[in-house]
Amino acid sequence: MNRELTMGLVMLGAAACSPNDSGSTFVTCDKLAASPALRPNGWTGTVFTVVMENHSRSQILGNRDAPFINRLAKTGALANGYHDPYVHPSEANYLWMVSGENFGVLDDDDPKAHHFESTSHIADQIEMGGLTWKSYQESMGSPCGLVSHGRYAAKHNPFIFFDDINGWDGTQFARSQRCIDHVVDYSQLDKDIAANALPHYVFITPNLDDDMHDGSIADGDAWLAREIPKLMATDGYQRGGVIFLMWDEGGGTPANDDPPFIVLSPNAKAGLVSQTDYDTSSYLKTVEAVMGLGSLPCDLEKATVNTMDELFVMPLAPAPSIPGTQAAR
Amino acid sequence: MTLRAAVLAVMASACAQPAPAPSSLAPAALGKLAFEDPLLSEPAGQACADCHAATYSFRDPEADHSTSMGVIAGRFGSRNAQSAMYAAQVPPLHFDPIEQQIAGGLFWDGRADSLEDQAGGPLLNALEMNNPDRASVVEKVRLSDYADGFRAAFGDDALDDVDGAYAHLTTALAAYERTPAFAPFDSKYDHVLAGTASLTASEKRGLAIFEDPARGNCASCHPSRPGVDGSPPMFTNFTYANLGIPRYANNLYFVQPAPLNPDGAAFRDRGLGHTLGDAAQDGKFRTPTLRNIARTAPYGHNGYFANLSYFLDFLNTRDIGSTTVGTCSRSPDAPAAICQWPAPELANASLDHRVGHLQLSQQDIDDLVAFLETLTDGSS
Repeated sequence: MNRELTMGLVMLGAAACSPNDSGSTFVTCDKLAASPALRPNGWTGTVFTVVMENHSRSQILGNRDAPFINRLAKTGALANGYHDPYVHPSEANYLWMVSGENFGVLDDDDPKAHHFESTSHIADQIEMGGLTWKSYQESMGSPCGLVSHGRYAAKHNPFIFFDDINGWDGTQFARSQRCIDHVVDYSQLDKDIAANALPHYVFITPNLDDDMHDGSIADGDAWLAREIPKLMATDGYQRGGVIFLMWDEGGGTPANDDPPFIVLSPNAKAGLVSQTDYDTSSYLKTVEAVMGLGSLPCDLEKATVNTMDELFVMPLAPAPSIPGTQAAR
Repeated sequence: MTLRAAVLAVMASACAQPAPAPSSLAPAALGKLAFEDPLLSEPAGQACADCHAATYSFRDPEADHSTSMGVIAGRFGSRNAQSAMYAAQVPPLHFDPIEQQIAGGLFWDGRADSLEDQAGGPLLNALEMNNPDRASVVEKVRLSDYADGFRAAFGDDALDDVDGAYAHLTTALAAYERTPAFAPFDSKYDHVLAGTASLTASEKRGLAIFEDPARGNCASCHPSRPGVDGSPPMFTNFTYANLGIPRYANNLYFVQPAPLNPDGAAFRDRGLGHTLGDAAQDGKFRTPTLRNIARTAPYGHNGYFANLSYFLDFLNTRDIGSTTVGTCSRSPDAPAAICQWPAPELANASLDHRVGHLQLSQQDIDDLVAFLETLTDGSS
């Protein structure tokens, strides 16, 4: 058993004994190393992730209150074997989406309560690969919101938990320019689309009503019906892009029901319903593959999970290595 | 062994064996062992500490749902689990002659008069630790590593009789909840009162608003000054109020089947009204202490409010609406408009009109939040 795994299991021993947090990990590992992105053929577009909240497949798929989502489920590829990484509540899942672990976090506290020195997250990985990213947070207001307020929940904004983004200087958060530039209010998305300035990686969090956390399924469906077509109309989507529409975790009841996971892309197998066992690590690895990035050093399951290849008509394997190849921009 | 299997194995071993207890432990120490024992639920897997975790101000760290999940996956109660901190300072349910109101009592609705009464409840609640009866709980204690500790503390026959043994268990749990760990009075504000710390400008403004009868007037229900005997402020007068908190539609209690929830989606929480059998008290819930309030999200008896500033905005604008109300429909291209808050879960004569139109600015609310954060123990 290697050191990293041992650390993770030791943390578990100290964790609460709730039955649904068995995946909790806190891994120490090597620093992220710079590596130019080498995107697979046919994948030059934007990788969008839109995260909804707290509903199970059985609550969404086939529900008349979610006509738009169900239409998407038929036109895109559906991963019906997907499950969350067995950590809860929300914050742990969001951290996992961008890093492959939850740093032992099993709560929803703001960064003030816990934040991490780790550079093993996808934002660093993207920048080191020569690509760009932004996190668009609805109802956040000012950029780089480190404190939850109103309908904005910091727990659903994973990037602000990393010190090389949030500007932690050892004693306080000195909101960094990097954070201000990359963690922006959702209203910025329309401006970036209009300016044809979408980054390569887009992480979208609706507010607590629009993401179904507090609002109804119909509310969330209406929001998606308004917003997803905007994304699908972008060059970034149409030219080898992909939208991952996912829920952070299931609804809590009925027990053991897993969340929906829908993939939209010109490169997706339209109408495919996969039953393969995928989890949030599979999603992360797929994002990395689409962006031509390697695995994060601290991603505990990088060697044991597969990318979600079967959902796509275009292979996710890295393009053949050609000397002198530049990072995609 | 796969990674997942290894993880589960470690979990199982960590949960299965509480630390061995010497036979000479005091009731409070026994109570701690029982409080943290996941084998006391049916089935095993949930301790009191799972919803009242010491490292999270004795509240539920899983705050993503508005209420807490019981040991049976998918079962959720109707109310937001309160922090157990400062519960020992809550008096029994009584009529307060000064406030001229009902006050005291544990749980949100005051139905338990003592920590002992309260501690005995969740063990037997099907939505929480799910033991069918006292006998099954006592049997678990008899099989525990700390059973001899109970016999040493309460007598050789301490666990022989079910009712007697159950009383010893709740006595021990209550004794633990009376230890300083639950009431350290160690917030920055305590240090300010002691003269060993000072408030920032924002915190000072927040305190001024908090205490000003013409502005926040929060201190009228959450007294902020030491008692005449020098006792530290509890930030509650223990009375009851119907703040008009809306029904939380995504509360998973609504989808619990009968008999867990006989009323289904029609359920409305009467609070104190149910405890007293008095419709005039419907919708009232006990005013909680604000100590550690910044760490105990979500807020409201049903967890409707995900964060503190949102709750304060509600108290500020309940009667006039706000731009932050999320449940109103709005055009994405239109500027933020004032929207009305959803109706109270129980709109009746008990609705408290001391809040709802406080005329506070966003800066005022930010300052109030800054002050409330000084009430977190260990924050100095």
